[in-house]
Amino acid sequence: MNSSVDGRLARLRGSLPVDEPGARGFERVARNPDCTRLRALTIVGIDSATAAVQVYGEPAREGQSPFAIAIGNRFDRAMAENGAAELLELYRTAGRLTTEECKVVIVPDMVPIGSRRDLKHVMAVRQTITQKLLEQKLRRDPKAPNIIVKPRVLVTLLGLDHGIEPDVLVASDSDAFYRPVEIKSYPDRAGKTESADIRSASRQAAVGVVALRNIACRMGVRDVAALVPALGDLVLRIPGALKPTLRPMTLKGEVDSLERAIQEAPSNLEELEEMLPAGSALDDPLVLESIPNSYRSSCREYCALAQHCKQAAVANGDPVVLGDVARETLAAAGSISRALDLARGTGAPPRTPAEQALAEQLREAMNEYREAV
Amino acid sequence: MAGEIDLVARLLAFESGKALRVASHLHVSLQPHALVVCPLAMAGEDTTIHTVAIGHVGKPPEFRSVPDPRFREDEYGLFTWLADRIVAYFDGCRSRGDFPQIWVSSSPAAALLDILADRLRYNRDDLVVKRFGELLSYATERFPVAGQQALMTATGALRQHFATGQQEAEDEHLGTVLVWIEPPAGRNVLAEVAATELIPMGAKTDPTFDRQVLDPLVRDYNQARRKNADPKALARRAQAVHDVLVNVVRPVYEGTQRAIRILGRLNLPPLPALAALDERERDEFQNFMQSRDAGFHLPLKDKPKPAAFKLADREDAMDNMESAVLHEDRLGRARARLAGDVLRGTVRNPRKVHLGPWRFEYSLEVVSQQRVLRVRRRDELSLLLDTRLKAVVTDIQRHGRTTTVSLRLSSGGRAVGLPHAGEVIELGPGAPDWLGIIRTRVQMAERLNNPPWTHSDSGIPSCKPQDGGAPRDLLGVLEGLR
Amino acid sequence: MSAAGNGKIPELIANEAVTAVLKTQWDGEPAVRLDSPPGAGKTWVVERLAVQSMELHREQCMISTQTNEQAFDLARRLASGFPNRTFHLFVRKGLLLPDVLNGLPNLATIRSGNDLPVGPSVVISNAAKWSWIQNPPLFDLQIVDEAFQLPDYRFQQIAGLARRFVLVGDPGQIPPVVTCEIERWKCDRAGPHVACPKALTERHPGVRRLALPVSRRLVEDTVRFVQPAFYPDLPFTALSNNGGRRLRLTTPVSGRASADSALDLVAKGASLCMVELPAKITGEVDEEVAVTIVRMIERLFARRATMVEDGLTRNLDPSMIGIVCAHVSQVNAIRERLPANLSDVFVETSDRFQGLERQLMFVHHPLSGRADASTFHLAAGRLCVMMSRHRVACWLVGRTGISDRLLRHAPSGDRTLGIEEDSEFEGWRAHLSILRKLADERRIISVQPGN
Repeated sequence: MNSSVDGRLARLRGSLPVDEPGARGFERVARNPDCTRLRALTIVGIDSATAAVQVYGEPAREGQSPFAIAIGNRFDRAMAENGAAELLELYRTAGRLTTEECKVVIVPDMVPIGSRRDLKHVMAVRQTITQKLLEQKLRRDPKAPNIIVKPRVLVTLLGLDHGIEPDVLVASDSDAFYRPVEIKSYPDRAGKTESADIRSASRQAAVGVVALRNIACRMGVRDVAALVPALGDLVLRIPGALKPTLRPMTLKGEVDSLERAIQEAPSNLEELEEMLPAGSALDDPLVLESIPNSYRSSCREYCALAQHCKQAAVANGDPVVLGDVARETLAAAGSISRALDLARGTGAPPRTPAEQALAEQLREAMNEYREAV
Repeated sequence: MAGEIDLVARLLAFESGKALRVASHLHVSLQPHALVVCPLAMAGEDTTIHTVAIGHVGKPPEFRSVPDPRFREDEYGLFTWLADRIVAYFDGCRSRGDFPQIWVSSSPAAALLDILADRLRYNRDDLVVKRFGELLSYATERFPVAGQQALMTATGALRQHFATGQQEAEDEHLGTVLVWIEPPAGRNVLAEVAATELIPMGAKTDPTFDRQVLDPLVRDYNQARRKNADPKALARRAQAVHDVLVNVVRPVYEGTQRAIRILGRLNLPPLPALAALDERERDEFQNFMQSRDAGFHLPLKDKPKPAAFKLADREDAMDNMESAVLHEDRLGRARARLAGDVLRGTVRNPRKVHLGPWRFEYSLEVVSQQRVLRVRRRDELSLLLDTRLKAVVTDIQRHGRTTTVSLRLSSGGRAVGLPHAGEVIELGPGAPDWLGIIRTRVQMAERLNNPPWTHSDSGIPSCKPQDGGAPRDLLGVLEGLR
Repeated sequence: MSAAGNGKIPELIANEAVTAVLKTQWDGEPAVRLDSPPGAGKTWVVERLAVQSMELHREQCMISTQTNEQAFDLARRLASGFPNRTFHLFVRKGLLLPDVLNGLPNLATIRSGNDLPVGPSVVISNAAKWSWIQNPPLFDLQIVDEAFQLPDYRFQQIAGLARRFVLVGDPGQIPPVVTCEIERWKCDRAGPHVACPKALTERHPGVRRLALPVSRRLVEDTVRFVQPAFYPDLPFTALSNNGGRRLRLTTPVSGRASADSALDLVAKGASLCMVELPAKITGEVDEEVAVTIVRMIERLFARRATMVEDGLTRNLDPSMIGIVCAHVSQVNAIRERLPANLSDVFVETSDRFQGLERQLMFVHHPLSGRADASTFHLAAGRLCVMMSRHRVACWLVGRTGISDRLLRHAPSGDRTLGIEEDSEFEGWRAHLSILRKLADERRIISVQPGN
């Protein structure tokens, strides 16, 4: 059915392998809506790490340590085992589920990846099962599960169908629909929790919200925002133990930025193809370079191309290499060398009032610095 | 706008390929006996130490690892080993009436110590480990307080004195900062930085290293352990893990030591405030240890009363540090001038008005060309040269670029004397008041002695209605009182 | 004509709300939280609570303000409003008082806790001073003004000074300033850094809560912008319908100045509009914005503007005009360009403008000329203060392209576990919704610099 779409995607990927972006991939696009390059890669299904290694020839770097993956898996398993007993206990203690509300479905158990390893088929079946469960809940069937572990929803994002697998979906019997839950083995240290960890977990939960809204829309629901509010649960770990903590989060900002990012151009394959010369592919560094990026110091947190984009910024003398404050303050100068000229009174005199004001500021600071140091 | 000096410094550093100094004084109190601690956790297991390098300033390190920190017994063995050293150090400091100072490489290492302290001090099974957690808690609880000298990050200390030519976020990698400060001759600094960035300098090992080197060795060990291999074989495998870990943590240790040496070799005069900060640290340490002796609990979550004290402490520390840097560091003063927090100008029309026997009023004007001034009417400013002299702003007039600030002395007229016409003076916030917190704490203790119901768990008190009801036209009655 | 659903005129609703607040004291409510939108007359309520306490209940009443300036202002209003009653101002030794206070015979200044009056009285001071009092008496009532700017740890130090208290404040404005690390308390909704009304409600959800439903300062047209953007949880209406307050330009014909059409728009009844200069990244100081604002003010006088306020017509006077900016450097840039005859125009930063009002306001848009929207500049509270100072009309002045930049904004996404607020997003959304609404209602005028 989608063979022509698959074909076009494959052509744009060139020699690069396909990666399912998943929640992680999508939430990154929303972090930097100005970066068309990242968006293009995500539409076509190329991970930024793959691009860094195969397009720009950077040495391959491991994304996650095997130890971190191990504890992540152990924690996930601990949450799912014994019919998700830990999760049920967690939600009971929080007053979100009663003892009677204990219907649990663990989707991977129902459709395990067998020895035949026909992944596509397995994924398709998981999607079908999830779809049926969601429809059941929408019908307000009292037998609809309260906890669904590792469901898989097929969502149309950026013009293409993608599989999104929230860690868990939770709903009490009286809830109209499910709420996404992200399970992370990060330690919950209240106010001292790593902000980058909270950020990524929240944003992935937001992808879950967007996915559910997408599905609800396809199932004919009119007011999807009312059915699926911008709420998600983060399940983190008690430091040093395999016990969970529950942190409900309001995700308005995250969901909003995702929904907007998804609508921005290029919002689909057509628009992307229009941007590029005919027959080109993203495995060509020149083609990739031709797509505008938007490098910020925060890129390093989530994009493997950050190093490459930084080098380009250095080559251009872009003030962002000195930080975001520098980028803002020196915007009128446009480059580091121009900023230095203005500060020293060398080079061409200020061309605009803004350069004039900046020149005064920088000269003053330069003088104060030289005198004081 | 704040930060222009640092921006200019970064521009110059980028251009010259070398970090620039941005402090005129030393802002950290380098304790000659300080302990350098470089722990590495196992990825994803945030409450573990896989390997640690520890040693005093200027001394070679001792290393200690466990093959797999997920085995509690082994891990506690490492904690005990560390505990012995920390206890010995703390006890030594205590008996000297001094305070302990721990150096780590960067914020992630401090965060690792913090998460360990928060856990281990509640340990009920192992008293040595519990003590270790308690003592660590001294350093970790002091860490967020401005001006503290108990837990130092090399990156933080260097940042106070140097501006690199990279982003602030990148300054959290100790290796890259050291490259900027001491760039290797004949090499492009950015290329060197890019290469150095790959070497871990925090509290974690590199994921590729984990996959290719560490994980296989740990598995080997675990396999041997499961199969009850003979002690020699087991020890060999444990040694293999230790050897690779030592190679990772040694540069972190050396980098941290190097940072301390660099700061020492700057030969900057110490910020005068350091004397007060040391004194404060000694007091805090003594109080802390006495509290532990008395068995007082260190909570994870604060009740309103201790929260109020702690926040007041931190605000006071912040205010005093800002004031100290403004007064005592030439670059700090320069920043404040540019930001408009310090008024610098020429004295005009100083006059002494005779109000009565032995009563005078001193007034003057200060004419400034500063682009930005944050001074307002009725602000009280201190003469930076001698803060005994304080003046209140009575008027501000700005004509074009020139601002004329009229002031009336509120104190110090006789002790310090009126500045002369034509003199260039600087006025700004008062000098740091290091003892103010003591008075504040005493007063707060008085005020918070009986917690009001608003800040306790007791319920809302019942209503006590007034005798007689309200008049019908309440607003009208009140109008009638005009 | 605006009404709050039941057909009552706003004046009546406002008075009923104030009466309800006053009645809580007759009921002996131990704590009352009063949320007040801008210009709702909360200071007026504070005054009446104090006078009621002193005169009708014969109580000892204390008022806590955040700053000395606010204490002076309140003291002046009480003393001049009730010349037959005595009020007390409690300040530190050596504090210079504004002249106007020295001229009020019924205002007694006390400088020592030993001189506190006995018997029915009202004593005004700032919260910090109150926290230092030695051997305090137990007051009957404490009124905390601008309570949303008082962090809970400071309130904790004065909460025990009175039997009952009323916390009055504006939840939409700039929150309390706490500069140090607060990591240990971030997840605590009743933490020491939290604004005290919020912390109180969190700790004791049963505390009596009231709101003032009517703004006396803002006109209906402004409320339609400000309320949804900054007070989604606090519905309120305007006292004055648009007819009651107007700017009139005696010289109706626009001159060549393109910014004149922005003046015309207001003369036709708009209370909010935006003047856009061509897009440019300028950094903090924008000469052209400063010049545009000054020129517009000069044009107002050149066109012999008059102000109609609730029946009274007056010639425009510089003291009726205010200019608000995000940064001191921008304030200075404007002051430098104001001619001497306009020196009574009040120019200040948003922080310093809190609690003040003017008939006409000019706002240097906080996001104008910036390459990126930072959390500081996005802060909803700041924009809210800037857009809620005017009684008649407000012109936002900035560069084109702010909406576009907002839409391309890369959020920092800093969140705290279990805390609903996402101040960066809320600020972002408030900014965008204001700009969108201004565009939708054709309130945006493009001008060329130098006109």
